[in-house]
Amino acid sequence: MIAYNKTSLHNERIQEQSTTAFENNFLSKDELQAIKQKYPVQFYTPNIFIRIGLFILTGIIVSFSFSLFSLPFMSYIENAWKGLLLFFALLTYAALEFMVQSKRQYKSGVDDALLWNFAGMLFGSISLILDAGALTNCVLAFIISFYCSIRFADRIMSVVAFLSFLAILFFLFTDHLGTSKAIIPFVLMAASAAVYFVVKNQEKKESLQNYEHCFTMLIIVSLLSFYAAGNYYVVREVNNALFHLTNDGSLPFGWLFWILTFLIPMLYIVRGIQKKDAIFLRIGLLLIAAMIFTVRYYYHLIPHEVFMTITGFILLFVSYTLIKYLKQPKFGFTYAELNKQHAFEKLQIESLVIAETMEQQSTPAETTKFGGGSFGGGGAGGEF
Amino acid sequence: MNTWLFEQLHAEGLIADSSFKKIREHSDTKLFSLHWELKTLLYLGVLLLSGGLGILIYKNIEKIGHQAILIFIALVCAACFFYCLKKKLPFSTAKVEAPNVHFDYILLLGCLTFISFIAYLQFQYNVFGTRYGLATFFPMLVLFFSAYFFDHLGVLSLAITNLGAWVGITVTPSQLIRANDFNSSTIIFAGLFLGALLIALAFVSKLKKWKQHFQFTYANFGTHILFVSCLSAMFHFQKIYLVWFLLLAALAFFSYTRSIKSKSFYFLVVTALYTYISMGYVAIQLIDSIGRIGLSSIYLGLLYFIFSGIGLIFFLIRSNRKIKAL
Repeated sequence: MIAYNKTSLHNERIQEQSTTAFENNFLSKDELQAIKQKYPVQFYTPNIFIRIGLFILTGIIVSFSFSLFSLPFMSYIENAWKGLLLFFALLTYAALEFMVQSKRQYKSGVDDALLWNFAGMLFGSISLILDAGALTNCVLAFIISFYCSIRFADRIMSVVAFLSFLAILFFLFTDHLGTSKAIIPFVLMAASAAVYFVVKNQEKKESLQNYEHCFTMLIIVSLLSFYAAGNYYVVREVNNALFHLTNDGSLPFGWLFWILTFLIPMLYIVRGIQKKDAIFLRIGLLLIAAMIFTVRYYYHLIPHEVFMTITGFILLFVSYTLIKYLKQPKFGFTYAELNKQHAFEKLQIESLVIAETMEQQSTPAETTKFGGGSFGGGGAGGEF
Repeated sequence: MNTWLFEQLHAEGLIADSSFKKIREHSDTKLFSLHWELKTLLYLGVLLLSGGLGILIYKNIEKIGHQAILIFIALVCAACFFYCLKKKLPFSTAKVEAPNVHFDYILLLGCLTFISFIAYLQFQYNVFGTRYGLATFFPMLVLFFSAYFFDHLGVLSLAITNLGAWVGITVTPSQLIRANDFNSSTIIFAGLFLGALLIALAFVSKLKKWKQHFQFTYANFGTHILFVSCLSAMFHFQKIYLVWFLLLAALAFFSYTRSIKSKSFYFLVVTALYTYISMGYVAIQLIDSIGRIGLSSIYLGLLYFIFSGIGLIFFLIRSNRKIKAL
């Protein structure tokens, strides 16, 4: 199944957990050393910056090697290049297996780059050779990414596999099965829920521990897609763009999707608080924003800037009071940082927030010019 | 954390009873931290509020008037600096911790409002006329002073970017700015000068122990500016590109030894990648200068990139080991 050495993966998990325990001052330095000695990891996993460097360089090498490889076939390149690409994809795969098994590369940048280059080239070449349609492409993407997720436990590959799975269902129901197109949102919601429950069920199994990061990613994307499939905006716009179910662009059973748009984020947050589940809580908070955007897209009651000022004020007030309130832990919640060393996780969240702000800062100048007239038009469509 | 895993380690005798008890207690209390959620919400709130207010003011500028806004900005700025002066811990050349959580943000707000104040004055009333250098010089002084006086890395970064703008504007004749022509050799020399200055400042802060923790920020800006200037000099002065390449190589060697010494993986990779780009350029120029040898020159180029890439990978892996072994 998994290409990486299982003992080393197991030991790596032990070392990781023990290091966290050590950073929280639960373990002494000697204990940590003893554990590391008893459970050695034989992977080559460099520092994150080196990993990025190796990733870039490996990508460069693969692309130049492909050019070198196809240069002798220059004269009949037009017929041959798809086949060449396929062959080269397989060569890349051989290199990947070699690097992982003999050179013990693990999250080193080299294996990441080879994996993604292989998957991309394999998909591209087969898709071009078959001259594939949408459904075939999705099936192809699913097979490749599913194989890569199982063999190399790559997080993003598992996300690709999940998304292509949903896309397969979508195209199956739109193009090939003669069912009513109105049930597609429910099919996708059911599929997301099914994936979520299966993953939740398998997550704790000892034999599948190597895939724990893939499982976390799958839980996150399935929760997101469950909401997206039932969101009023998504359903309505997809319907209008692809199916033209009604002449005036309104959505049959629109009220049902409005209920889902409102209800799901609330349920996520409630569950997140009940179970103290960070994933549910964070996704719920994120989806509240999605919910607000959906409402404001169709019903434009007050100007943007007034709305921004009011929400900003409410957010400020609520978060400030909660911070004050939770200075002393209450009901098992606290404002204090628990494990201070989880710097990387923080870094990701913070960079996300910063990236978002950059976007927001550039938009206001434009939105003022539009004045919201376009939004009003959308609202009129919704009322009919 | 996984309790059963530690149970196993405990049974194997790798963990003492007292440590295991601590882990048990930790997993039993199950305290849930909302730190980052709440901080993000707070941040979003500030952002929305300031953005909304900004647009509101922008839309109603006729009713409010420029003077009123200027006064408001000045008041906010003054209030922020007043707060910081009151709360700050005594100055020292070593690292000074912020007295509370809000201090850093308030100082940042004060500095940002100061910059906006100057920019507003210049934009609306043209206070500095065409002496644009002066309009960037004042904020720069204030920023550098605040960075050292209140010990704030973010303000230091702002100050350094401002320094870059000031140097760039001072060396460029104003008609060039108006013509939007930045592709001149003076900019490259200014960049080299600025980069060298920042590297020197990094050294000074380390050696003289004036705010040692500022060293990384200086070195980071300096290294990038120097490498980019060197690269653009290579492209710009094509006739003597080898001279510039030698300079870049010397710089890379210097930067490499520094990164090994300071155990910095980040600088190691940055140096390696810039050097790789310059070497690629030189290789293409050399192959090109050989003359018309047709396809084989393409082969030569491709082979060069593949083998140099592999070589660099080995180099990175070896340097990684070297740093880890230190």
